[in-house]
Amino acid sequence: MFIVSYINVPFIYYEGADPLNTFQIILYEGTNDIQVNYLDVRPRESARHTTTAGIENSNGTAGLQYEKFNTPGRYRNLYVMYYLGDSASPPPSDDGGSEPPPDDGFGSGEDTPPSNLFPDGSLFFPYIALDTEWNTTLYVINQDSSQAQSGVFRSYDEDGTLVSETGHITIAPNARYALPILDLAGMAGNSAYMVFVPDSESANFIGYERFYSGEEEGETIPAAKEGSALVLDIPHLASSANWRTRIVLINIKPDKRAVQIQFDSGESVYRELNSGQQLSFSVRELLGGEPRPDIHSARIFASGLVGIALFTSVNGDYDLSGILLENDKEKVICYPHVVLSENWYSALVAYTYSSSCDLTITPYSAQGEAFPALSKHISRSSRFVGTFSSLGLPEGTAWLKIEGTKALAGFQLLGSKEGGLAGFDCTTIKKRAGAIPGLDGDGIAALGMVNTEDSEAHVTLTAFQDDGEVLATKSISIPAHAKIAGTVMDLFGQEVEGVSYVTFSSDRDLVGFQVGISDTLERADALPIL
Amino acid sequence: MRRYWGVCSISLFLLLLLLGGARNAMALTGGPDRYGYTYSDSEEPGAAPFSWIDISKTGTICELGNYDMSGDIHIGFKFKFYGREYDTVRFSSSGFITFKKTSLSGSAGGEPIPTEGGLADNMIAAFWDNLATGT
Repeated sequence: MFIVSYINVPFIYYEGADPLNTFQIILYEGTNDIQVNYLDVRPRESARHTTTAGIENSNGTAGLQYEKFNTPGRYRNLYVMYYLGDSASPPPSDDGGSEPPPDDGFGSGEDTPPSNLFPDGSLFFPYIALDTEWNTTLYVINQDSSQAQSGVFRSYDEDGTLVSETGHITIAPNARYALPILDLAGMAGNSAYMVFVPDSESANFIGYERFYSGEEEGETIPAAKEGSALVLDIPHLASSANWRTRIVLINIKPDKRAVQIQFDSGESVYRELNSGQQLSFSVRELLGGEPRPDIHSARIFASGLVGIALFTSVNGDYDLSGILLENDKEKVICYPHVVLSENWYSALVAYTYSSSCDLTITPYSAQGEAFPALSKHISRSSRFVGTFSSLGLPEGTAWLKIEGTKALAGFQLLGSKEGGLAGFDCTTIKKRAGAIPGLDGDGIAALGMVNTEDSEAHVTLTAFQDDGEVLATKSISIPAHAKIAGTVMDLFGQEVEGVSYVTFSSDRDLVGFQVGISDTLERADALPIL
Repeated sequence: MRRYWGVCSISLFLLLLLLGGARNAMALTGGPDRYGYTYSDSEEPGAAPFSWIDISKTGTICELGNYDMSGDIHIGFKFKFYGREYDTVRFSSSGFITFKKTSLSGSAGGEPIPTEGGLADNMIAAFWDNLATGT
């Protein structure tokens, strides 16, 4: 007999006095029966919360739901037995066939992942903005410095139907390829998202997409390279009279996915996404059509999804900004660009999905000097949001490190006084080698890097133009916890014409970013290091 | 007794115990599903009386945060579920256990059972809901 007991467990969300639930699962050796004992539980059934009980096979094609819990209430001293009936004929196969599956040893074969809809190394551009005002350009960089690599851009509609595709595009070593969607005959029509599929799985591409509308609005977002493991966190959701957030998700797996979108209000919405299907929604579209300022974050439970969050102001006073939704969470997050000036402001979001969390916020100067740390507390399934100015940071603060007692997700925003707004994810940007693209837009582009370690970093910077030719190289040292930032000319110490991106290699972990701003300061975009 | 975790939770105790036991005879109240499983509960006429097994002094205490999933826990014998045998299981903080080795997250509840392509598979859901196991 094997027993698992859950003792006095409350609900995460509960209206009223939170009851405690005590129950246990018993597995019987030999008979393979399952007994579930309920000492004292209160299952619930509402639009927001539902308790379910039952058993389910490996692919959801067979199972039983214990129907008594469909009636909310308090249940005490109750048990349920699940067992195979005494059938005269052998039970049907778990796979739906006529024969039971072979006992192939402790579940081997049970967890074989389904084959991919897209080959490894594919780049996903989850959203295409294309109308009379908006255009989208996709960028792909071949990081292989020794040989050209090729691939195909494929365009899909919202249902995941292939709309069109390019021919095979060959990209020279270290070259960057730009694909303006508007210029691509046949692609524009129903294109909801696009995928760059490399011809070789050993190819090493990175990518990003840029949305833009004249001088007033724009944003760049990294291309996704893999789907969610099981959860995507949305650290920030704005649903107010002035702000809205659009979430775009794509199921990149070859089978249908059940998606649970759970808001921090406790409400959940369920959707099914067919293979390749795109789901685009705002909070108000999903929850009754009205703004919901009480909602600030969400978790999306489903594997095999890629997604982005786009933040827009309803009246158009502010620029579009957005982030790629990431799987990963870390206990230490670095926010590499604190700007406190007359023309600029910056803000951060640190989010924990799990339990309450204490934050230690350490500001650093550009020279690496640590200022006195601040402490903040965030409660369960909550987040910390603040402008850097509201934190009362010391003068000279150039970047921040936040250490949480629990795993965090986080991103930062940069804004100009003229409405330019840009954001980038800060959760998984610590690297020893990478690229900083997006340095060739209109207006001014800058880049920055922070040495996150306790000893000096030796860094080699290389500037490339679109065809992969090296324009300049520079070796620099970044002291412990120090930051460098500026234009390409600032960092290389010389004028370098035609730079499309910069790579770096370092003997220490760096975080970095790119930020671009139009001449009018109305449009900003930003990327983390890729 | 093998210890699987070294950290204790103040709100959730997942306790394991290996004991000898026997099956109770039950009346059919639900199913069969397409594989042949049925269920019945203790309120059916003739059912054996309810008996809670207290393992608080003999089991191993484990900690899970909200929406967490444990690693592989050894059952101690081969347990057959939907035609396959398993010797390990994972615990979700959301009130279910699963034999799926790739399950990483506890996943919130509320999904009908079964659901093809759903949030959790290969599982025994005792009380699947948003349960607060974190401190």
